[in-house]
Amino acid sequence: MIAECRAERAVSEKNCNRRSARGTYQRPEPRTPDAMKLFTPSASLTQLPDADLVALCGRADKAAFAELAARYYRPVCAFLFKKLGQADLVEDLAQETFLEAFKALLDGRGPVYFSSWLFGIAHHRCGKWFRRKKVGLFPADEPPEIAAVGLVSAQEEAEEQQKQMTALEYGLASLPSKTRQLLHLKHQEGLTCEQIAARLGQPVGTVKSTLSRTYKTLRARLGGDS
Amino acid sequence: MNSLTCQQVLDEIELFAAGECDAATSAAIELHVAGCPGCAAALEQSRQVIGWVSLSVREPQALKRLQKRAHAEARQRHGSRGLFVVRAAAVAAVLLVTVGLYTWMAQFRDPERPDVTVAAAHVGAGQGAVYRLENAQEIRIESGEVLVRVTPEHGPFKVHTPAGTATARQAEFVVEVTAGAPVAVRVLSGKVTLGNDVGEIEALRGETIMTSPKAAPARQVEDPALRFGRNYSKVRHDVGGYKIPPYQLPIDLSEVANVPDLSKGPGTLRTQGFAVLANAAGDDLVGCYHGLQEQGMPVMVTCDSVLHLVRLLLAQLLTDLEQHRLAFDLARLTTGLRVKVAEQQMPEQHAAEWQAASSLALMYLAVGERLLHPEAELPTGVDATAVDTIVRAIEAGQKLMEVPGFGYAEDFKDYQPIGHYTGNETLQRYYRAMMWFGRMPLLLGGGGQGWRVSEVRAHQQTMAAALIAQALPATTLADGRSASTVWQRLETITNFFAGSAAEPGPLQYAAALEPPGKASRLLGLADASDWERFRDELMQFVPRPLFANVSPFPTGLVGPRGLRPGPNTGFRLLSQRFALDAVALGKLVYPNIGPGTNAKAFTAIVRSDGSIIRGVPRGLDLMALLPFAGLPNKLMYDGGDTAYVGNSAALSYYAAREDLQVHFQPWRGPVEWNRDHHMGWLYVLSHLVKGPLMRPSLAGLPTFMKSPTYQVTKLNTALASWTQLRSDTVLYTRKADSGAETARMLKFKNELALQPAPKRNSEALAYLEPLPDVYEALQGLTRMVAKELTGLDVLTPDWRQRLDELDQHLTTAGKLAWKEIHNDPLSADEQGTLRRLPERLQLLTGAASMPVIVTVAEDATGDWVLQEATGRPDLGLFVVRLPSGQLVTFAGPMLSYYEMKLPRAQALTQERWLKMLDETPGPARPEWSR
Repeated sequence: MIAECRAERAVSEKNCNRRSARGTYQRPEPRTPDAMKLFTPSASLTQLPDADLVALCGRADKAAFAELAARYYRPVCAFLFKKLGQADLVEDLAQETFLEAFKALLDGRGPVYFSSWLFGIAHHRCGKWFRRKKVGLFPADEPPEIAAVGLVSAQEEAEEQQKQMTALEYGLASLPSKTRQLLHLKHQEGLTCEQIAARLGQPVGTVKSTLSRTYKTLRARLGGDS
Repeated sequence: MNSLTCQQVLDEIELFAAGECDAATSAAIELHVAGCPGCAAALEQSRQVIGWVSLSVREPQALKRLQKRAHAEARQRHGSRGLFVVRAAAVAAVLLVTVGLYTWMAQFRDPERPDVTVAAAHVGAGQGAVYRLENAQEIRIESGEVLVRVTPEHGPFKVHTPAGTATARQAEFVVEVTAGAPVAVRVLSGKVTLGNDVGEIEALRGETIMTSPKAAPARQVEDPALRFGRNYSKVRHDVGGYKIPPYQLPIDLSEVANVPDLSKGPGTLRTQGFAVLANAAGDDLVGCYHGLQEQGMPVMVTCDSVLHLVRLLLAQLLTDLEQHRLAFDLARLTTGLRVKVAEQQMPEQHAAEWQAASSLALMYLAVGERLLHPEAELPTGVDATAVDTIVRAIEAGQKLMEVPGFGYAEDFKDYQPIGHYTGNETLQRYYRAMMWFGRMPLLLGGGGQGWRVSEVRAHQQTMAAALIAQALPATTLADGRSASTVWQRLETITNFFAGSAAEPGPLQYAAALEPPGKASRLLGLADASDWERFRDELMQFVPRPLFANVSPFPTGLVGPRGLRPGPNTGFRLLSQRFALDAVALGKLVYPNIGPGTNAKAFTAIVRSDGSIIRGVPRGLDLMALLPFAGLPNKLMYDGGDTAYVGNSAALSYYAAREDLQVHFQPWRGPVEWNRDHHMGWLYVLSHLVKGPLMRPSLAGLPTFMKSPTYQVTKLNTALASWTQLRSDTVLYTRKADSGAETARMLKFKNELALQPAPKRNSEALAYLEPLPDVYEALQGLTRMVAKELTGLDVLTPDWRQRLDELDQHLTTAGKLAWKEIHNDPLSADEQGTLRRLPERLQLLTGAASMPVIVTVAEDATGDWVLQEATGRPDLGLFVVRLPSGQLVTFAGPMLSYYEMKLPRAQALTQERWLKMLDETPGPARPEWSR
């Protein structure tokens, strides 16, 4: 029940731990090392509850925002991915979601509960996109003061995805470095198998079969977890 | 490539999902997947995994990008704090650039990137739109469909078309420009003026103007459904923040003035300040208030009571109208039309065809007439045996049978009166006749397989329909009224209560027969080529459901060209209606929704092959569509009712809901929501569903309103009220006082073993559930009902007075609710008014409430039905902190709600349901509300 969650949330936010608002989402421990390096919030920030970080953001504290982003980037992506199913689009909408949130925080329109609010924005963005897709004749108005559509349900949905993404994280971490490099080329640099093969000096067939095998392994891993 | 085996597909599926397969393999896989649910699921999983991998790998980069953008934003804000002058200059610069941009953009826009927003308006492009911006206040449309939404602050906005110029200050309208056809302007809201050299005309919401270059603009088909919003105005008695101080939870019961003995009851009263005792409020809401007052218990006038009593009133208003006005009007109209059609001179050309069409039209009317008046005379030239056969079959509720003279089959079982239509003979006859005129089509399209009739018959039936459409404006009824007026009134009232028509009728046929500035097409209709052209013309006017994917426009508007009739499209004298909620629920089930993963979900039906489908929707589906509905979303998720994935043939649950959500957005605003009584009621309920949780801050809300039990209970109320709306039945007869009822009353008293309230307060204590926006929305709706029905001149003085009184009561409710919210004490008089409120509302309706049950959906196979029901009221207990600081427990009745998925053969009737409610244990509540 929502209010129960709220109560729980209030307690957890008081306790200053690194749990997200509902108190059930735990950020996976094995964070991608380079992500940590890029975003190096001070140790004290990582200890702060959302509410305090929100207050800091209101004073244009970029590090506080960086910490919030690191906390919620993946859950928000997971949430959007479930709705949209396209990684590129998800990334764009996630960026827009966080920026909109940041702007609102700068304006002092801080929410009572950051996570619900953030998911609300994500939900709105999603809705906007869907509308735009259909010729988009009716642009949505600005999201309401507290864009709280879907609230807790959004988080619930995201949590399920989040679990799977955590499992995936472990899966990725256990891959040999050559395979990881392959994934990097494919997804980060956006190369095709042919281009990757040329870059690595390997036959295309090998690249394709490695890729296919890797995806299969990851899928099996997730299938087992779910 | 030949067809693949599953194993071959599964081997390649990852590469396919990653877009790394060659074209031939891809095509073969696509083909296979379309017909193989197993591989489709595997493909879905692969896509998901690849998507995740991609997101995961790119996360560091994405975070970095985000940080950069955040830095930039913060820097910009920082910079903007200082110099106002600089900023103002920048704004001016931007304006200059913008104006320059428009000049530059004064070229035709690409339909692929269609929308543009300027200060005065938003312009959205529909089908084939080609237009250009002349400047920030004017556009010129060359062709296609364009939506324009003009904002009020920036003066008039002009839309130039080849046939004239439309001007608006505040409006939303659609302009359609097609070569060789008149320009159409359809007004969705506000006011638009269309003028050219020849003339000028103004159109309001719901009206369509058409004009050609050398003809004066003329008003065309009006969508009556859109009219109603014009009479809606938002009611607001006060505004302001919630200022009620909280109390500590759990409650120290020694601080509460009156503590019910709840040792056996739910403990939530202490922990949450709110509790519900199931079915503990006796048989009847108002009776419960009497019981409470006899015991000296402080009374909570619940939102449930107000909603329920107003619902009863409106339902009774409809029944009264049907019995005393509509049934009579329909009978007169049918007779008048029949006489007129019989009189019409048939043209000499194609005489035989016209003769056949005329006798079909007469037969169509004669059957309706006989259903209303068993004694009605039969016109000459009509096959009396056929009419008799049909009338008898309808009265007997015959199952699927071929209808003589019409050449297709119809199921007359549905023509059996139900609900309040069983009340008396007038209502029964009215019901059957309305079913006949609402469902039996004179078909527009025909052909071989997939059509109900042959092309020849469709042609004949359309000619018959044209004769009726043509006769309508020329007919004067026996009492001197014009048939058009009477028809319009019937149509409008039906629209108003149930929504807009789902099929074309006389209005649309007449519009297609008599295009503006051209001669009537009636005579030519018998020619094959003219008949084709007429059909094309008519298809523009065919109403489409809100959710048709062809257009984002609301129902009832003139549609794009090139639509083809469906096998069921055709003329109905008074067509059945689109019920918005029914259409929405119909989209949230198989086959529109893909396979499920949770067999235990309420909505799931496991088929014989083991696959899980979303067989039935549920009430929560609708609630989740309402704006800001957080809780229903969560409950659906918890129950597994969202666990349905998409595949190549169907949507995932979320995708389907997103599609629908477009039509339920908050920006649609109260005027659009209140376009009919049905939608207006949903709008009222949406205020309950969004609940206090959607407030930016919970401070100042009464403590009990923050309780989880309370939130769920309000959802329950909304669903129960929706059930009552759907059942559309009011049961007038109070149930006989049986032994069971007395026993229940006793149970009610025992459960309420309350310590009497302190003597000094016993007169004064009454409280209204502080939900002012609900009362205000309700008042807005009932005011519109009163205005609209007064305008139609169908209200008796008695009903006018009743609606006036209702308005006063709702004003009181709204004002008192605000007073409570501002933490101002209610005077003894005000509390007295509150205590009498439920009784007064009931006196207005003169009807007693009873549990209802209604079938709202069935699954695709027709094996299962979804039934929604209300039962005996529950009793809510609320701990309220009065402005004096004193804590007092109030009690008030609340609606109960049930939902059942049952095999069709076991579907419950009203009688069976009432019995079940008296059994022990009674029927189970939905799992989420327990």
